[in-house]
Amino acid sequence: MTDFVTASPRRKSDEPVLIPGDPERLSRAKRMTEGVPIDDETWREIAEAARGVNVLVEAPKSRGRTP
Amino acid sequence: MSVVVDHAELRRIGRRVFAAAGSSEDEAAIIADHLVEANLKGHDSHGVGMIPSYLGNLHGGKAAANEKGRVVSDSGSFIVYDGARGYGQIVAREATLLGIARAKRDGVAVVALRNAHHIGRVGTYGEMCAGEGLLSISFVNITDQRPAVAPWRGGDARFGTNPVTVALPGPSPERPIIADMATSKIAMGKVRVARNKGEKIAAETLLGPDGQPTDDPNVMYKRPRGALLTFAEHKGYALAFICEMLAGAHHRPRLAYRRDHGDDRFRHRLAPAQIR
Repeated sequence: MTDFVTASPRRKSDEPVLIPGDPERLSRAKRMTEGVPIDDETWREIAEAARGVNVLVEAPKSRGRTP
Repeated sequence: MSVVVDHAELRRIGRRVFAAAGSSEDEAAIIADHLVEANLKGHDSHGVGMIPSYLGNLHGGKAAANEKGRVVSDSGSFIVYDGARGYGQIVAREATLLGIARAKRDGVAVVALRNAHHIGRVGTYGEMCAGEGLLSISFVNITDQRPAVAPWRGGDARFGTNPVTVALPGPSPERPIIADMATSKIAMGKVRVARNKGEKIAAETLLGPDGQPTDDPNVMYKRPRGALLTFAEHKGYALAFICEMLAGAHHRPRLAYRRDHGDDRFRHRLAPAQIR
């Protein structure tokens, strides 16, 4: 069944037909190697909350653009 | 702009934060890993960005550390589990483990979880069941928090983002089939992420407090508050309504409309059926 459904011709060549659960697996594989992007405001909120329980969160080493 | 953080560093931060907030090392690790896995799987709305709200609820007495919850009624294949406000990542996991054991023993199990703090990404529990070769169906409602989603044709919020999750083993063990979705057009966490990034929300997703369409995520953080719309109009609404009935009604009735006003305790109910 999975093979039959995903054999549907792609409407866009770079967008494969997936089954439910595939998008999460693809994202996980990518982020395990490339890291997890977190927007600056969310990071600031996490660091502030951590400070509230006396945990110091250091500024992360790498920066990137929000995808 | 955003930062890019390695998953191992996020896990380390999460563990330290929850342990510092009073959780045992094991509990802190389970919560942190759950949140980081949500980020890894692309569900940033349910990831480490929840930490501030979890700690806020803990300090406000709305979440409890080191609380595993307990069975309150047990008729074999139908179990009611009280989360006693424990972290959802802990109590929903316990309830799911119990459901898995019963489904394997009896062929089917229905577990109704109540009084849990935010249970996180519901797909997590579906994955646990699928990993054991089981089908699971979950309906979740949200109580003691201001409603966020408008009924079809309605102009203000009357219920939560009420997710539906169906999970089953897939074509290979590492590829289970997981359908895990809010019945709102987007999750509240995604509104938070858009607000934090200063982005607009897509058209036909949000209503302002006047009941008119808007693209401004800030309407969900003001009083009077706006509302999310359901996905696929009447179809998402029907499923959201079913979540409210199934998750809220088949144990001590506790529906969104009966929430305690002024108490925005962050509780979820989960009613999975696990069929072998």
